[in-house]
Amino acid sequence: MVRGGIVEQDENPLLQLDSVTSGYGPIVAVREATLEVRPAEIVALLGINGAGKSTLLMTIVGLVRASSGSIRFDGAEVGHLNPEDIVRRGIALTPEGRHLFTGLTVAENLRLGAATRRDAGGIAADMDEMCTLFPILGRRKRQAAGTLSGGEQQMLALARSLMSRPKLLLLDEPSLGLAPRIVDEIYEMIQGLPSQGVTVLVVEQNVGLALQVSSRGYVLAGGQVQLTGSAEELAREVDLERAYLGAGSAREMTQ
Amino acid sequence: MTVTEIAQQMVNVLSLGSMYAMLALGLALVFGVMGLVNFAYGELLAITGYTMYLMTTNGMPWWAAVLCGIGVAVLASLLMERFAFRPLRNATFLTLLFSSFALATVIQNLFRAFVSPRTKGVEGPEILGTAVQVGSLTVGWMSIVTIIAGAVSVVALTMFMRGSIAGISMRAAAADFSTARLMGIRANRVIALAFVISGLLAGIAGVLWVSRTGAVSPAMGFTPILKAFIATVIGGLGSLPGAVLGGFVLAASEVLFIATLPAAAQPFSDPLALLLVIGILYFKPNGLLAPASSERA
Repeated sequence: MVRGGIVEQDENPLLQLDSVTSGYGPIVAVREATLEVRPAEIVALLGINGAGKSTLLMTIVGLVRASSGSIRFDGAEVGHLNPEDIVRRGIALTPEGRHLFTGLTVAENLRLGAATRRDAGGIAADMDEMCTLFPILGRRKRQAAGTLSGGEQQMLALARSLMSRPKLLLLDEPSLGLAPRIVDEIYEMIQGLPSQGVTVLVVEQNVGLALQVSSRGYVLAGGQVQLTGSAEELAREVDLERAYLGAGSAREMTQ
Repeated sequence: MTVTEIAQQMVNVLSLGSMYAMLALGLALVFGVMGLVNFAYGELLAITGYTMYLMTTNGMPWWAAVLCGIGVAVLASLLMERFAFRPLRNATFLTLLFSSFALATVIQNLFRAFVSPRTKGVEGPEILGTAVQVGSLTVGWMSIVTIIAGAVSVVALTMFMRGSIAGISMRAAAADFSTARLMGIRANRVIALAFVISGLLAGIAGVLWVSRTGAVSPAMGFTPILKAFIATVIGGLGSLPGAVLGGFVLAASEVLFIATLPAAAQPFSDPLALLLVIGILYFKPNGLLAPASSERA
């Protein structure tokens, strides 16, 4: 078992959410969430389906507008900004379900990951690096992204996110629907990111997997942060089940 | 029909198809990024026509009128986007549709009020009325210019959409707008660019249309938008190759009936052509080339 290494850390967190509430119209999906991610960390965001994890990531990146609370990234308040502007500050999101541009080629998808960059040489070099890191992408460069297998698409989605050279990478369920061998490959890749200067916040339903690579975690249930601690603490936590069920669980209600 | 006659009709299909393809492309571009079928699009041709009319009747040379006509179409398209459609960015499909109808009506009435409700003639270079002999074929210069303009437009647009980051961004935005924003692509810029290119295509088509008919009238934009719309539906709404294909299919259908029907039945050529279109849509309701964005990743 490998733990995410904690490298030298700043006092100041890279990402800080303070009592953030957001949702879709009348539906509140995230309730007063407070969390932080420090530079060079891998932090896990755990919880069952519908706990609000995806919404939280989308709120950070601006696709969902927070109705209250503050979101600070790299020292600045970003809660009111458009996704295009938030992303340009150094955040990338690999969404659940990947959302590749299926009609466009692998190369075009990668190129779009770097849409905000102006350094043509650097972009070309990074594209080559992605194809080296993920050889399958190199072989399928001219193919339409929609023709790739599930595992290959996940790799492309990850590579596309990295093309913008983000400071913070938000990953939403990178292991979903993938064979164990591919999942291992992807997580090995994720583990190496902090040493390359990329901080990671990963949403995962697979608790064991997430706690293997991360140093800390938050457990979300009913849109609220129920539990937080180091990976070791969370792995040992017997009440993890209660945290998942949240307040008003069946046990409490029958008393 | 003899071989020569068939070849002659082929030329007509190429020429008419090029025109329809250009029109359809302009419409499809905007639909792709915004989900808007812009029924005021035909008015851009009219705006080009009236600009050319005003300039030529005031003594300006033809080439200046052409350039200004195209420029004004691009400007008008941008203004449409900024003031008529951007405020309605997240409205429903029907709201956008009706707004574009309303805009078209407003523009037409502006022509009636400030120029004239009557048709006005536009004098073009005489050469455009002449023809050239290619073997046994008689090919009008108008047709040649139209075909060249169409070919250049399609090739240039294809190169732009595949080779430039702006073009690739537009294709991405048309496929998945939210994810395109996640890449940092600015929504407003992509949409504005689509309207600029759309305006450019409308301007070129407008020059050709006015040169062919030799006239401008307040309601002249109606037929072009109708043809453009039908062509994009045949080809698959939102698909750019589909728009080009649809343009040629529509042209072929029209020329087929114009060429084969006896003189007395000529008024039925358009309805019969559209009957053929209905037949195509019966077998392929989403058009001949449905766009790639309908796939899931």
